[in-house]
Amino acid sequence: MSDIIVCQGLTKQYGIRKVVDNLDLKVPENIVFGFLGPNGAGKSTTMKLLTGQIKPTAGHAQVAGADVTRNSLQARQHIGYLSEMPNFYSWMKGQELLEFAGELFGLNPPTRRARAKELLQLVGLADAGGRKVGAYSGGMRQRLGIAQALVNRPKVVFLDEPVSALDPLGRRDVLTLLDNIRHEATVFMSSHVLADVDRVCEQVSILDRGRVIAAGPTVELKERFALPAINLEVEGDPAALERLSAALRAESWLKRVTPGEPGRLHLELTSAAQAQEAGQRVPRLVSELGLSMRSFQSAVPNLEDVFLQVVNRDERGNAEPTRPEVRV
Amino acid sequence: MNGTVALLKKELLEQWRTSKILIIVLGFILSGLQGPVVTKLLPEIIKSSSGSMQGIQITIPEQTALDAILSYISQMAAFPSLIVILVVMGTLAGERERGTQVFVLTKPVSRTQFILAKYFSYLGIVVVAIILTAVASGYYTLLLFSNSFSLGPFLVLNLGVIAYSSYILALVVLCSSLLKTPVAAGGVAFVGFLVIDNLVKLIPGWTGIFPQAVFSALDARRIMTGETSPGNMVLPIIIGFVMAAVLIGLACFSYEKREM
Repeated sequence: MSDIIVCQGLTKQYGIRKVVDNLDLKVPENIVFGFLGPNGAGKSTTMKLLTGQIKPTAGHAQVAGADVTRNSLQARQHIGYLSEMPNFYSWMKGQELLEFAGELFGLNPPTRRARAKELLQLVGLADAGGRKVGAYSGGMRQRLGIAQALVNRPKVVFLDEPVSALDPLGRRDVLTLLDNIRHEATVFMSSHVLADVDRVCEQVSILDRGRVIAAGPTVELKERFALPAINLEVEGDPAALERLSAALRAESWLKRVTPGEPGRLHLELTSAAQAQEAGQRVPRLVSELGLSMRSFQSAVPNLEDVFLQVVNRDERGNAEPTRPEVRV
Repeated sequence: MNGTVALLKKELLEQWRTSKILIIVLGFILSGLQGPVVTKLLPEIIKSSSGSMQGIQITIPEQTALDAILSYISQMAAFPSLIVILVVMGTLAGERERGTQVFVLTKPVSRTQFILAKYFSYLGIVVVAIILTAVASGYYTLLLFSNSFSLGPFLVLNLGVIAYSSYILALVVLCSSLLKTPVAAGGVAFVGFLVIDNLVKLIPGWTGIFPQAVFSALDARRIMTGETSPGNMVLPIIIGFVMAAVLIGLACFSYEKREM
């Protein structure tokens, strides 16, 4: 599988602040790639660099074989882009907007008309194509944004927070759509909804303060970074349950206890090596406190665990100093 | 090329749907028509207002078609320029403020194409508005006054109005490319318009070579009466178009460098 996006030493500096700092990135063809990071990490700036909207201070990037930092016009022929807060000409109708986008890519009138209809159908706006964009809701605008990003059958689609304005049903539809278009295009998406990224992205990069701090296949990152965890369900006196939480917090192998619904606790262990000790200590503590254990299960690691682990923020939101990049 | 045509069509459609074409055309025609209409009514207006001034005798020379045409030309200086500033000030700044430019500029079109499509679509509308205004004003002049006027010099003066308007339009597009909001762009364009116009009038010899020459009552009268050749207006007209080209060039250059 060849790489369709390649960044080498990509840097964007405003004054003394490096928003993107010496970024090296490779994205293979025909995958859904997740680009993650806390607010202000440099995700949107990187997308702007990769779509030719801004010029880098240093480094270069290739998208679909074209050097986007030198000849963005050529690269833009092969890309689609949806910004974080998409806004379109309110006086245009949905169908007109897509046809106009097609015309900018040089599609002939019958082709762009057919493509516009096909895309409206695809994003669930077939009935709204004749309405002015100004009358669209935020979710409809986002769907239209995804449609306009696909009008030229791009090789790479950059989507900045593509599901942020959608309701759960809309999110599900868009994620299914992204999953389907991977056969035709590479999807490069950023999102704060880590469960969505977890669901559709085969590979992710996690960015913090302009640098990639972890990158690799999602499955491998989860194996590598997600802390082992246990979901515990007990029954008994609430006061005893409080005492159980307190007792668990005193254990050296436990990193964090997160209470869930009444009687349920999520235990994060400090490392996988502590799992055995936890397996012995937890049932003993439950028994000593007069509680009865209903279930004791290993939790499936998710991308959120990876994200929290590598970004390494504490509960107050303070970040630790920059860590070296980790690749899996 | 495809992109330029698509952008031009989009601009014209936008200006039609947002009534900007109507505002420009009607604004220009109403301004221009004031020339023949006010010139015709001037004696009556002065007569009715001088009723209270007993003992003062006011002699008004008979108003002619030439006075009406000169009045029309002078009307085309101020109000149409203000209309252009108000309508065009948001053309780039407004798109940047709303975020709509990202949609276009991530497609395979250059920023220069984006600006030129805007400029030439507005220029087309302004030229059509000036032609319609000239026809309407010429027609009303012939209708309201018994004598006629020379068509050749009239056309040359209108070409001067077009050159001047193309430069004002370019000035507004440049301001809109440089500033963040439509109001700031309009404000700076208005100040720039006043400063340049007054500077040209203040510096001896400049009035005759800049497009503002077309609005000089004396020069316009001489051309209309045949005292001087209409060819004297060629240099100001060329300079008007050159100023427009330079300002648009600057707008394209600054926009290419600008961060989205």
